Amino acid sequence: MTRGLTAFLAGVIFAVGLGVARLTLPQTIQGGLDFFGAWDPRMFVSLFTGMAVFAIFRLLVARRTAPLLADRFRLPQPGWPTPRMLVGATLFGAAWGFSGICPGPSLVSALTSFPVAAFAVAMLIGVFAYERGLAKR
Amino acid sequence: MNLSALWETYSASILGGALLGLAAGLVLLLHGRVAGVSGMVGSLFEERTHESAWRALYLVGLVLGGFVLSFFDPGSVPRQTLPVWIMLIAGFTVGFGARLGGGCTSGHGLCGATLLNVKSIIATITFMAAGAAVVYLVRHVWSAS
Repeated sequence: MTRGLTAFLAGVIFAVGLGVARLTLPQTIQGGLDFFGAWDPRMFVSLFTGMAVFAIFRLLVARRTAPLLADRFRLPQPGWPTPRMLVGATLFGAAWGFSGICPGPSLVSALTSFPVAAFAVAMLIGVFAYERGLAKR
Repeated sequence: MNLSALWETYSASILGGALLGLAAGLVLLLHGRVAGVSGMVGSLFEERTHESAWRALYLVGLVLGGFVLSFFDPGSVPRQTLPVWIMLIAGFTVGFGARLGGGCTSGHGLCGATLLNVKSIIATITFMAAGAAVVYLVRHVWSAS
């Protein structure tokens, strides 16, 4: 119950952050990636601010053996990326640059923009295709 | 550019970015995980665990949070978008690619890179380079011809 509520609230805060920072608008994303044109630094300003705030939490939990609402931390394993991961990151980045939308913002705007809702549904299908087709291989 | 003009341009980006860090920080402190959106979407299609419910509710928070925000801040709603058939192809590729790549902008970029995870840092550089290359082609090669 508590865990559901805190996760829901964190999701709401994340959505408000994306919206306020205008990261829900494809122009903000594409402007941030347009290094050889009219570069718009706002995406990176948001990213680096978010990283700084997240880093404070990282330091806050550094001496904890477990998070407050779970038995242990489940963080990404260290190591080098596999070639398969880099193919995935390249596919993701290309489609992200072309559309100016990534998974978070697609869900945030899913109820307010019909084209973005279509994107979000296709994104869910893409994740489903991976989970059913490649995840165990 | 003086300081007040800089603030005017970037205050919303700083405030919004701080909220992203706060949300991801709460997920780390309370739930012990990185707040990767594509990873949470993936968990919808994986075997049910005791964590499935909260991860799904995080996604519900994203959808409803964006919906409610649109009433207070209409400028957050995207108005210029591509045709639906392109959105479908792009959306599928974004979802599939993010899972194959082990994460998206939130999991690898915001969280993984801050945790100094080498995989995440390299993945972030890779998808940003791919995105920048496509934006370069779209904005400066195709549109010019």
